[in-house]
Formats: sequence, structure tokens, C-alpha cells
Amino acid sequence: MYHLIKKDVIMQKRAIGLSLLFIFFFTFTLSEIGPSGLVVNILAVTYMLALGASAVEDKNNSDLMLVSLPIKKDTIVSSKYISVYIFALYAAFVNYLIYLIVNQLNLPIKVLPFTSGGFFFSIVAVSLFCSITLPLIFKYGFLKSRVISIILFFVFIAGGSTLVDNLSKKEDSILIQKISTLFHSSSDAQIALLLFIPVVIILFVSYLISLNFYKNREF
Amino acid sequence: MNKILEITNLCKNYKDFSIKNVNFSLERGYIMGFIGPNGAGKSTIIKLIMNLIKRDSGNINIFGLDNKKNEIAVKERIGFVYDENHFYEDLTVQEMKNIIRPFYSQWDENLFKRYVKDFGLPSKKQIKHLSKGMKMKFSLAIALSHNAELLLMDEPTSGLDPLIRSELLDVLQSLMQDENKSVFFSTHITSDLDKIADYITLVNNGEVILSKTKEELLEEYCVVKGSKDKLDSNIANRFIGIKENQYGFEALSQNKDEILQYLGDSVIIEKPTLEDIMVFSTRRSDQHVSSY
Repeated sequence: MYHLIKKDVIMQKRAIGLSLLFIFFFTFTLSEIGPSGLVVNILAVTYMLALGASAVEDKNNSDLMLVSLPIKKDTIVSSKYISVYIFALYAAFVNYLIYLIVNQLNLPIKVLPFTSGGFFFSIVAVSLFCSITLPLIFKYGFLKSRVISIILFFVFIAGGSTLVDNLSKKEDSILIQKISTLFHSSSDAQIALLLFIPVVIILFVSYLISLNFYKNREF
Repeated sequence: MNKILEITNLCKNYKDFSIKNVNFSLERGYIMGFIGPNGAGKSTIIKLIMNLIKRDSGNINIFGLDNKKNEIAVKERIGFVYDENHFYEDLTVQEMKNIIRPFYSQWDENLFKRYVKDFGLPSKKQIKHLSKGMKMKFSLAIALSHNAELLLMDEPTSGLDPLIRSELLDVLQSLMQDENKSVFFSTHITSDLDKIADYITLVNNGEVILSKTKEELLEEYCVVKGSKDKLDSNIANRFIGIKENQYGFEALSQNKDEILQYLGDSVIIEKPTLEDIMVFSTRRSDQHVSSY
């Protein structure tokens, strides 16, 4: 599995270089919107690298080579899910590094704040995103599922922001009040767990669907 | 009999094409040429052998093991070369090898280095900058560096110049000094097989037309040439395929003795090439060609 993840990284040397520029660009341009900017930043970079790896594979029909090697299909599928998190952690780490340097050196520039909440929601967003896109890629390949992936990406970004905006405007609604009470009465760890459990379930179901698609795919 | 590959009653159905009840086997220590026109089903059968597509029915045993139930164990012992490059083009030869190497427990790095040297492969060059011939050599170097017992090649020589094709055939011949190894080689360039193949399996329209040793095939079959007045319906029915032109006819027969008995010295009987056998055997009855 380690070698398959390493492969996803090695074959994107140039894209990883480019992603650094993206992170720098986003950290300055999105700094005004706070922690949700961090979510957009990490999700965009993860999207670019995770789907980029699939695009390279599709370009040369390299799945044919991979499944001809003595590798179990579940190893191929699970390594793809893990590599998504490797890319997310990489994006988070670079963001954290920029935030740390700017703060430690008291530089007169505004960058994205790196908060544990922002990081947590980034991982949730990445999980939901890969839970939907990876099964499509394992069934149809990157090129055929590309349009759906791009639409989903923008739905995530636009939908997420709209949802947050609407929730903040309707602070007086009963549902929001109930949620707000629940969140206020719970510790951060409890809230994290409350979100974490359904995300893990969704991710696990997505993995099983991907595995089923890949095992039944003809090359 | 020590069969390295055994296919029995293999079927696979698509909407507009089917692999129909395919049966053949290959023994250890031999090269089998797998021939047939484009679209005959060669690549589909190779994909079925590699379990890249799912069979509808039948059995495929490799090294005596079912290729689905023992997929990983079987693939450890197979070297594959496909007709196109499926490696990551932006990586160098060295980087690509480093990705593949860990998946084979029997990987022999010294052997790979020897092939790189013998084939003149530039380790630091990106795969996309290699010529088609070099890409095939790289693919072959990978296939041969993990002590594979069965080398499976799908049209490896298509689009290659005669020099590289000849080099490839030399490598395969030297490989056969190890009697434990076998090569399964699909091609429509039958002249490649004239030099190296021990067995020939001919497929057309998803069916195996014949599977025999090359000697048997060239001994049994003959090309018959003569004037058209010799070609009555009784004789014509004994041929596998007939080509006619204004000067006479040319036909393939599976029974040299029978033709000699019927036509004697009135026709010319020649030893066929594999191409003759493929062309005459796979021409449809409605494609009975008259060339003027």
C-alpha cells in the first residue's frame, strides 16, 4: 500500500510544486473569510492532487498495468483513499507552516488562520468529497467522471458557504437554536465525535462501493 | 504433460462479439504464437487470461492454478508486455521501475540492470521521450526481471521496425534456454513466429480455428496453385480457402495427400507460410476473392 501511495506522490512532482503556489495564493486571498477559507484551501489542493493522480492514470490507461501486477484490488482502492488524506495533510501542514512563520516573525501580512476547528472541518469536507468522487472514478475512470467531480466540487464550495451563511442568518429558528444549545452544552470533543462518526460511516460505505465497482470493472 | 497454461471451454459474451468455447493449452518450455486477424479476439483472450475482464464460463489454469482464485500468486509468476505503453509517461525509466519493483517478491535487480544495459535503455529519460521500440524494450525488461515463468505478450511487435523485432525475437529465443519458461505471443505479423514459435493457435471471430505445433501445421497444410479448369466443386469443397484470378487459382488444403491423389502433377503444391494459413483460414466464405 505504501508503494501505491508513494506512486501517487511521485507521479505528480510538478503538480505538487504547483500546489504550493495555490496554497500561497489562497492563504492571502482567502485570509479575510477566516477558518472557512482554510477549508476551501485544503479542499481545493486535495482535489487538485487526488484527482490529478487519477487523471495521470487515466491518460495512459495505467489501471491496466496496475491490475496486471500482483496487487490486490482492495489494496489499490484503500491506498487511493489514504493518499487523499496524505494530500490533505500536506496542504494543512503547508498552511500551518505559513501561519506559524507569519505569526512568529510578526510579519505585517494577513494569512489564513490555522485553527483546530478549521483543520477539523477541512478533514470532514475532504472526507465527504472523496466519499462521493472516488466511487465514480473507480467505476468509470477519471475522464468519464470528471464533469460530475467538477460539479460536485463547486457544489461543495458554494453549497457549504451558503449553508454556513443561512445558518448564521437564522439564529432565531427553532432547529438552529436546538443545534446551538446542543453545541453549547457539549464539549469540543463531543461535537467532534458527533460529526466524526457519520463521516467515518459515509467514508466506509464509500470505500465498500468503490471496492465493489473496481472488482467488477473490466479493463 | 506439464501444462503452464490450460484454457477449457472459455466463453465471454458481449453485445456484438463473443469468445466461443475456447480450448487450448501450452506446455512448459515452449513458445506459442497466438495469431488471428484484427478483431479476432486475441486481446480479449489475453485479458481473460490476466483476469482483466471476467469470463462468463470455462476455466483458465495457469501453473495448474485457477487464474481467478489464485490471482496474486499467478500474477507473481507472469511477465506481461502489452501492445501499448501503460506506464506513467512523465516518470523516468528508473522511477517507473522503482514503483513496480516492490510488488514482485522475486524481483532481480541485477537482471534488470543487465537488460537495461543490453537494451541500451536510458535510465534517466522520461518514458514519454522513449521511442516505441524503447518503450517495448522497457516493458520487456520489467517483464523479465522478476523470474516470470510465463511471458504473456499482446502484439509486442506491432509498429516496430524489423531490427527491434529481430532483437525481441533473439531475447525470446535466449529465454527459452530455461526449459521451465514459456512464452505466449499474440501477433498478426506471422513472419515473427516463423522464426521462434513451437505452437500456433489461430483464432478468428472469437473461436479457435486450430492449435497445433508449427511442424504439424506446416507438414499437414499445403498451398495449391493451378489453372481454373481443375477447380470443380468436388475439389473446391476440399479446400479451406480459395483465391481466384484470371490466370488460375490458389488455395489452402489441410490434406496434402488427398490433393496429390485427386490432382496429381496437374497443380503446383507448395509448403504454406503461417500467413497463408491465417489468411486462407480466416477469410469468410462471402469474401472469396477474385482478383483481376
